[in-house]
Formats: sequence, C-alpha cells, structure tokens
Amino acid sequence: MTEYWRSLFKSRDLLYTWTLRELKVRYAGSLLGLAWALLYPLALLLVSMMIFAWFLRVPTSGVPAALFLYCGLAPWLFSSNTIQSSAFALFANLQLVKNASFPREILPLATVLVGAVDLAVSAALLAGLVFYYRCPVGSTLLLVPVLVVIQLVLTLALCLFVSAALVFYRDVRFLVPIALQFGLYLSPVFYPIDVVPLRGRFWYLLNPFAALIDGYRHVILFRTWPAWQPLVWAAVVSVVALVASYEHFKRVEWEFADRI
Amino acid sequence: MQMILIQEVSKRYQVGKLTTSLKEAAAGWLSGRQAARWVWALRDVNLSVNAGEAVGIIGHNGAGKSTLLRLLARVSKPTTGRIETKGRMAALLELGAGFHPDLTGRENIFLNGTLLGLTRTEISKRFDEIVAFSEVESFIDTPVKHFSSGMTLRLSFAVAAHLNCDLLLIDEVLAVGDPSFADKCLMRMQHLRDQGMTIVLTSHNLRTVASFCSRALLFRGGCLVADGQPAEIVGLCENSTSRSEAIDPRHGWRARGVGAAG
Repeated sequence: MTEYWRSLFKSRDLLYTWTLRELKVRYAGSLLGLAWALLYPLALLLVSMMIFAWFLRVPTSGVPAALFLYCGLAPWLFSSNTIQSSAFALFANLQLVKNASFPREILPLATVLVGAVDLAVSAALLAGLVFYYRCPVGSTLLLVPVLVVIQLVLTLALCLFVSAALVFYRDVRFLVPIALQFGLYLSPVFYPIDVVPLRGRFWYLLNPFAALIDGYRHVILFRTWPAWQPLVWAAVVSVVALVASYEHFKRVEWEFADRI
Repeated sequence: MQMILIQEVSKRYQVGKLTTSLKEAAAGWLSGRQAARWVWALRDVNLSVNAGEAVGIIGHNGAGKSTLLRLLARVSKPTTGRIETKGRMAALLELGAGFHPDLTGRENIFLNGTLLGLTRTEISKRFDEIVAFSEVESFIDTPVKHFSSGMTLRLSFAVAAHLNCDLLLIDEVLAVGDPSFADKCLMRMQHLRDQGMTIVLTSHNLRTVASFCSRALLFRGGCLVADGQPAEIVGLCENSTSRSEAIDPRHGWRARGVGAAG
C-alpha cells in the first residue's frame, strides 16, 4: 500500500494537470460554463420541491422544504455524479492507458476531484439557502468536515471499483445507474429518516449513505448530534471499501491496456 | 552500463471476441472452459541493450515490434519473463496519445510532459525550448484539434526530446512528419545519443534504421530472429521481403549472439 502511495505522490503533478484538464474540457464550449455547477442542483431542487413538498407534502420537521431537500440532495448528487462519471474514467481514455505509463488511479481520482469542485459550489448554494431562510446553526457544524471526509472516502472507493470493473465488463455501464437509483431512493434524500419503519431502520442504516445524509441534516439543520453508531459503521465501511478497492485496482491495473 | 535487460519474455494477447460481458463470463465460468483464443505477440525474447546504443527494430506488421515497446514502456506486463530498465524513460508510442484535442498546445505540453513523468516546474523551465523545437509557436494557444498530424507530431516529439531522460522509446511515429522535420528529429536524437541517451525505435523506414542506428533487431512472428549491424540486418529484411521463407522463426538466424551484444 505504501508503495502505491509513493508512486501516486510522485505523479501528483500529473494528477493536478489531469484534473485541470477535466475541468476545462467539461465546460469548454458551453455557454454558461461553471454556472452549470450551480444550475444543475438548482434545477433538481426545483423539481423535487414540486413533487415532495407540494404534491406529497413530505414532513420536514419544521425546516423550510427547500432547505430540507437540498441538504440531502447536495451530498447525494456529489457521490452519484462522481461515481457515474468515473465509471468511464479509464474506458474513455483508452488511448492514454494504452500508450503511457502512469498510476492508473489518477484517472478516477481526478473525476472525484472535479466532483469536489461541484460539491464546493453546491455547498455554497446550501450556505446561501441557510442564510436566506435564517436557519440558526450551532456548534454541531463542527461535525460536517468529518462527514465530508467519510463521504469522500466512500465515494473514492466506489469510483475506483466501478472504473476498473467497466474495463472488464461492459455491463457495468448499465448496472451503475440502476445501483445509483437504488441508492437515491434507499437514502433519506427526499424524505426524513423518521418515515422509515422502526423495524427496518437497522437494515436501512446499514447503507452508509443513509447514515451520512441523515447526519448532515442533524448537524446543519437541526443542531443536534446524530446517533454515533450508524456513522461509525459508515466510517468503517468506507475505509475498508477504499483499502479493498484500491488493492483490487492496483492488482488488475496491468490488464487495462490489454483489455481495453 | 546495461540499460535494458529482457529475459525470456513472452506476451500473449486475447484475440477475437473479448469476454467483456457478465453473461459470457458467467457462461464460461459455469461450463468451466474458456472460449478465448490467444495469440502470442512475443515469444521468448532475450535481449540486452547498453547505454548509448541506438537500437532499430524492424519487421513486418504484427511481428511484435510495438508489443515489445509497450512492454518496455511499462504500459503492459509480459505474460512470462522479466524486463528491467534503468533510469528515466520517455515513450512516444502513438501519435498524439497524450494530447487532448480541446486543449491548447500550451496546455497539452504540460499534460504530455507530466504524463512522461516531468514536474510542472521542469516543464516550465524547458517550455520555450520545446516550443522553439516544434516550430509551432504561432499556434501554441490554439486547441490541438486544429493541428495537422504533422504539427501534433512536432509537439509530441519536442516534449519527449527535451525530457532529459536516459531512455527514449519511439514507435514509428516519425513517419508522419515532413522530411525536413524528420531530419531535424534524427539530428536531435543524434545529439541526445552523443550525450549518452539510449534510444530504441521501430521503423518501416529501413534507410533510417541503417543510417541512424548502431544496432538493429529483426522480428518475425513475435520472435527475435536477427540481431546485429544495421546494414546487415536491413539487407536481411529486404531479402526476406522477396523470399519470406528465408528465415525460419523457430530456429532463428543470428548475425550476432542474441543477448550478448555490446
């Protein structure tokens, strides 16, 4: 493992250059450029407000619906979009993989970094909403960085796994969106965790994203500390997943150039 | 000093339909047999290259030239055997592989340079030199998609040739440039060689190999069949083009002891 980290550290300039490239290429030629990083979550917020706040009247524990929904939507969109785009991180750059030697994990890693830029933009939007609705915040905000780190680790683990899997099995491109839809509905993005029956709550919280999103709501909107057991579970799952998927990635790395 | 050591290297590729769907993988797994067909791109290659040598690899398409370079460049791993290289290495395997069409020439120099293992500071230091060599100054802030293939070659060769590496691998890419730039590249490579760089290139241009290289290797069907003085080997290659049975790849034909060169 340390050997991998060392070679990755040596290639940090490539990681930087590649991430910059991804950012530039993504918004190159689009009229609104980086504004899309803001418009996209905003559009999803609007439609989810219409359905879940207006049509379905999902209970929001007294918090304005826009705030409640966005607090779940913003972190979920980061993970979901990043996993979706990292699936193609290796596959779409086959020319490079076939012709240059570099730590392959740089490609999925760069999509996570690009996603982190989007996350920063949507976090700013969330802060704007908190300010706009004059939602009081407290010392529980201190837990936010911890939650973000756990989520980054988990997302990176899934990105590494998915990007490598797509090289070997093209079916993965269809499986990923399905799995992400499951994740969306099986996490408390559009509804509070209270609506999940108590009998099923334990199983529900085995999904680390459920614990994380519920955690964000607690510390940002409700000024309460979330239950620690699901979060510790999420942290353990994330770290184990990252170690396992990185190890797997490095083991099959050599076959990418021959397989693509 | 020995720069490259290749011991009993073979490389096998899966050909035909790749098993890239879960269904096929499951079917293959259940029936307990692999439907894959394999082809040996390289067979039992032994070779050692010393510092300062300029090695030209010749052979027909599919002879294993590019595979050998890919293995040397550490893009892929040999199926059996061992490869060792010393020092810093730069590889030009496919034209424009490290370039992105939407980025400008300037941005691509940094992308390409970092891909070859340079830091951004090192690239900044050599930036002017690279641009001057490539002769594409006036297009340096134009997206590379507007470049001709010759211009792309100029830029990618310029980056690789200003790396200060110890080992340069070039796969056939020089064929794209115009003759005057090809000459310039050869002169630059000669200069790098004089400074002690080791160069391995593949080419279909036998004249280039004969005039530039200090040693030539002839590949046929994945086997190294001849190794020796460029003039001799090139002659052999030209002869064998007319009489393709001249060399039996199984037994090999050696102008000089393979592996004991230098």
